Amino acid sequence: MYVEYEGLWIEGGLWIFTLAVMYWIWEDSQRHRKRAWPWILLISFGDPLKMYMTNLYRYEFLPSRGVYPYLVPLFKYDSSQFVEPIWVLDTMFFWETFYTFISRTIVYLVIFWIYMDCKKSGRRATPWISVARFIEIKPFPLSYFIPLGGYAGQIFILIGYLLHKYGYI
Amino acid sequence: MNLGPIETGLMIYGVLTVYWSILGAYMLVKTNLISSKSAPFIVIYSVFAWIVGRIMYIYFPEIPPHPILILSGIVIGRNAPQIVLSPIYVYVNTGIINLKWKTYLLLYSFWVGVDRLITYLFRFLPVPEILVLPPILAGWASYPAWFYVYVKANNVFSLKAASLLISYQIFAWIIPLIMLYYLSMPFSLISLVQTFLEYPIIISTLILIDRYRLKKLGAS
Repeated sequence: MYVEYEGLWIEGGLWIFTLAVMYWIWEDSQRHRKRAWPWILLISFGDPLKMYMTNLYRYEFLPSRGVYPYLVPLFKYDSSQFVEPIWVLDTMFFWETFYTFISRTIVYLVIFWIYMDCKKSGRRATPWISVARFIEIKPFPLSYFIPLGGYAGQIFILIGYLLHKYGYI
Repeated sequence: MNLGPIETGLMIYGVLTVYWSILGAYMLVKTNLISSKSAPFIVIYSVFAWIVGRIMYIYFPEIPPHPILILSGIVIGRNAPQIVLSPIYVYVNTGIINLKWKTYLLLYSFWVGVDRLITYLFRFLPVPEILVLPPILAGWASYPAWFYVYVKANNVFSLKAASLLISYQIFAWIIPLIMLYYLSMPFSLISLVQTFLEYPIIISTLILIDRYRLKKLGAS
């Protein structure tokens, strides 16, 4: 039911966090009079291989099987072609939506908290923000080699920051 | 009330959109990028852009783009304000560059207008031409705004550096055209090469902006 309309399920408002992270890095670098470009560059590469595979799938693979998602409004997959029962796929879809909601909230709150704490204490926040953001959006295939996906990576960053703040590392 | 999967899904994703917009706006206010008076407008615009995107997806195919879909590109397209104006606003707000917003917005609107017009004129091209050609044919229209921000109003790029960058950009436009018309390559490969061709521009722009701002600050 829901997975058939895959292309319809997009969340808005995430551009605001991209704007916020960019601003925090530049503002922090202005305050500390330090270089910003390596840290901005780290989070500016995007995910070209994932984009390549998405385009390959949408504009070549599916059309080769007689399916043209870009030629119809509100494209719907043919569920008779699915291997798993649709209720299984829908359950996984909703679980993924819920998990992403929790995970992203933690990600943004951690980055926000680190920025505010650094501003209060006079520390440089840029490396922490940049790495935290990079872990969130790491491109394929790095996502397979850096096992710090979702909120787990941000908890790792937060612990690292606190250890650094209190002089343990 | 019997809601189908589309209505239920849109309600869930609508709520998520409102949530992210409010949370994001809250963070922007707390970190002083926007005032608390502007926050509601950011939230409203963000939700509005999402609604427009979903309506376009439900009622219009991607190809060939309907004129209404082309017009909606003003808020959800490749040169939408949230993509193009955001970095400029950050640079101005952090004191990295100065500019007259009226002049910049006029030049930006010119670029958006040309981009939408060219997309409209070439809307019946087949795939992959329609995916590759319009952004390239409209690319020149971004340069007046770019030139104003980075050369005229602020000396981020010298004329020599600006000329080199524009020459490289022209080269980066020609390569996809060769791949499209002489090598008959698929769109997936063309867009991948285009992405990699953009990286030197991104890197050199970032380095020069950073160097410019550090010089202004008197830092090493």
